[in-house]
Amino acid sequence: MEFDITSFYLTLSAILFCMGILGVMIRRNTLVILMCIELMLNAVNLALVGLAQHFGTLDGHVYVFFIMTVAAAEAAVGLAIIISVFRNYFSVATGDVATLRG
Amino acid sequence: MFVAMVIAGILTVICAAGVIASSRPIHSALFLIVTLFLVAVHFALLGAHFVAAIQILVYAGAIMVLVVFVIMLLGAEANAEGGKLGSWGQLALAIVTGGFVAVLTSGIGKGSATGLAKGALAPPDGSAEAVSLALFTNFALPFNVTGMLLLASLIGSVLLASEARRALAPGRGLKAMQDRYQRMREEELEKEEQSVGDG
Amino acid sequence: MFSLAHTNPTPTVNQLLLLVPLLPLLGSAVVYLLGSKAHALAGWLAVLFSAASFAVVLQLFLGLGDGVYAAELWKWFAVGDFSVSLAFRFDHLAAVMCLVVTGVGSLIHLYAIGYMHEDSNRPRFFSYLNLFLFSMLLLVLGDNLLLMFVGWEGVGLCSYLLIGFWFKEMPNAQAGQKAFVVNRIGDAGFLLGMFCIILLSGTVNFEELRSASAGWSTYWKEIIAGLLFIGAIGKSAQIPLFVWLPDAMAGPTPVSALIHAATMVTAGVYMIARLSFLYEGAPMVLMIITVVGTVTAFVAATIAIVQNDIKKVLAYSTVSQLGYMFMALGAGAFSNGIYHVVTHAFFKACLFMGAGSVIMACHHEQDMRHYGGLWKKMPFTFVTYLVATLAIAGFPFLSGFFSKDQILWTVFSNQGMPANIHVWGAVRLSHVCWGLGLVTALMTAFYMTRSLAMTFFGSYRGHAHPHESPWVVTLPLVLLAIPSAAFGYLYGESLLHYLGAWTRPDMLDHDALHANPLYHSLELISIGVALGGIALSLLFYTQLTGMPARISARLPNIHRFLEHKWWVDELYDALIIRPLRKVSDVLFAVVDRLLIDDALVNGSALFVEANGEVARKMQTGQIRLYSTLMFLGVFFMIVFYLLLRLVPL
Repeated sequence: MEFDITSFYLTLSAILFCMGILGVMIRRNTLVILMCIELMLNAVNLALVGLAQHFGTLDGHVYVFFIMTVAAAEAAVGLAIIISVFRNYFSVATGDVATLRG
Repeated sequence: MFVAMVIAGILTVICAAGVIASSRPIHSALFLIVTLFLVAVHFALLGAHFVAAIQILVYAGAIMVLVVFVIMLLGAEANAEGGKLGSWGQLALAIVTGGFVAVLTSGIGKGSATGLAKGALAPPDGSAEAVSLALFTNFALPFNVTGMLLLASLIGSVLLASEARRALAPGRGLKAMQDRYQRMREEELEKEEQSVGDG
Repeated sequence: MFSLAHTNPTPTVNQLLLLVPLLPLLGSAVVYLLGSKAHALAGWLAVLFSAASFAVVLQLFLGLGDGVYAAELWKWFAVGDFSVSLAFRFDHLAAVMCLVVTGVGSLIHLYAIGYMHEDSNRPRFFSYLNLFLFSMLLLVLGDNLLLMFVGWEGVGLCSYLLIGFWFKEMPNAQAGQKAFVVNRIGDAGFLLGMFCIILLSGTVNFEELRSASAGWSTYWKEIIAGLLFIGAIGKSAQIPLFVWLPDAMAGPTPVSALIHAATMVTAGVYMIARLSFLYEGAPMVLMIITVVGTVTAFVAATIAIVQNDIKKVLAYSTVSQLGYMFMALGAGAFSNGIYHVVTHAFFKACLFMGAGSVIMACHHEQDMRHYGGLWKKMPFTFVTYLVATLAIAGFPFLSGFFSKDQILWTVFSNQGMPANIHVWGAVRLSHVCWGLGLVTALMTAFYMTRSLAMTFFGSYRGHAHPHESPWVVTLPLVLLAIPSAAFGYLYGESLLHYLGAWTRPDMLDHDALHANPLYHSLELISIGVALGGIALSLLFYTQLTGMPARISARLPNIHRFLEHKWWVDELYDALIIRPLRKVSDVLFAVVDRLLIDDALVNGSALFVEANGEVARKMQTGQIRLYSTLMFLGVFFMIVFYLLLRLVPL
């Protein structure tokens, strides 16, 4: 059977994405959750590049470029929020920041 | 080449598992750096050289450094994990996620979106020259908008993360806040014990 | 069956007709608003408005001739093909009724000024009185059944308001409620009849019904006539719905005079007379009407004999006389029924007002056993009461004699009763009814003279210092005593012709009647009965004063039976009221408390609260839960879309 690059990378991307989701759901440390989100983004990047290769266009690469940029901005802001939250709650465990409940 | 792809793929999955399963966030960060590096390898194998370089520079080189810095700042507090889910819950979620993978990959290989046979088109030229040409011509507007977005996030994160520079009123300093928080925690614990006692 | 040619001239529009009901309506408002400022003014204002209405009626009557007046206010509503308008119709029948209502009504208003002069609620009273006049005039003048029903309900309402006028005493309020509720039972029949009419012909206008009803089958005519008669039973206090009228004596005497003697209770008679074209095609119902009327007259008279409260005597007398009117209607002599309505209005109002005068003079004492010897102290009251008593007893040549006699004759001769069944041999139902009517006439003469004698003759047995009442009281008495005496002789025949030649003529031919020699023999029998009753009563209550007591001692069971009004109220209580109360209690406990309060009201609140409690559990504040739920949601959406194509995207 011939090795199909596109299928391989789509599968790999799906696996990585779901692992990221699993990490977000299971872990309670905010930093780890952020890192899992980055993992998910990377999975998407992988899928995009793989499909760009399949269709022969550069659009996928450009999208990946923008996604990376936005991910950087988002990571910066997210980390700033984590620091801010830490200053008030002195914890980065999500279980401790649960005052907004009914 | 395919072998490299497969090996890199397996390694990527292992390192991703390491990210989500490590007990300490610093370990997760290191695993993530390796994962990002491996993804860059995948990009290179796919011919997206520019994106691979950018991946290493920006993602692994800047974002993860930032994360490591924050872990360093937090120090021991970063290891807080408070109340894990329990192995049954984790197993259930893992199964559901596995199901999700199955769902997502169920469409692979079936149907042809554009009627292309596999590998019918030539892979694009992923060099810096080609990508930057596309960036500055076709995608000029998103490029500039993203620049503005970065500016906004820069300002925002600086504001969020910095301590207030105005004169601190008594009771607003870090020590005062720490004490207040301690008292809050104690009160909550008391209330929980009381309600547990009643119920 | 004789029938005179029915002429139906096209109505001429006369806007003056609108004033007739609207003046009392206006008066009701004005009296209440202005009268609250000056109580003494209230009564005079009320008299002014009712007298003004009478004046208008008089003018219309004089100008009527053989025609018909009509006036319309506006179109009330129209649903599909069915439309009803607020329109009035002034024909001969309406003219007679309006004259009685406004004339006698105005006199009673005047009387009430004297009777209620100490009361602090006079504005409300006179306002209600005028409102009653308005409703009654609506009833009489309405040119369609629905407008008549509005007036019907209006008089019922005013009756309730006025009976329970002194509502601070519980029995008065209960009497008012009883009147209204019993009326309502009759009204259910009326409504059903009206519904049938609308179903069959799509109109409620009398003139249109006249032509439309010709095409109905006898079956339907019987049903509708019967249902409407049930309404008349309630309103006109026939058996079995007469129980409210004696209790209604709890209201002030002017109320009793106006509503329960002269006008409201005759509404049923008027209604049947108005719908005579319908009833003549329903022979079974006519027979039932006669029988009901006869039985009512008889039973009420028996009860009246043993009553000691003067107003109760008059109340049962009213029920009895109403029975006579229905006897006439059932015999097909509709104009005879109306004739008796007119004469009854005169002498019964006079009697009630006279009784009120006595009651006032004896400081609100109503028991006749504490009266006596008042003929010297209250001459005007005595003379008018005497005249009215003789009239009702059927003393020759007074008006009651003429009208009652006509009724007895029409019943006996049964020309208008096609459903006259054989009771025993040659004796037919109409003969039985005539016989009972005769006995009732005897009893009427007896108990009315009894009340006269106990009140005015002998020596005074009470504790007050009675004296004659002021002119506002005695003037109406006199003004009513005169027609009680003279109306029958002077205008009786012309009234019958006036009514019979036009409205819908009776099924009888009055001229042929008088040629019949049997008529004169029966007339003599009636005279004998009346005089005999009067004489017997005078004997018992002036000379042999111990006799009544000895008779009632000999027949204690009968006496008690009559005294307790044939145990009718107790019967109703046991048969209807108690079970109804039980059912209500059960319904209250089960349906109201359990079902509505607990299950529905509290239950719905609890349900919402429970839902809220459940929904609340989702808001834990835990980010992990939120992200898990988000992921699961996305997962299922994708599953449904990709795999099952269930979600249209």
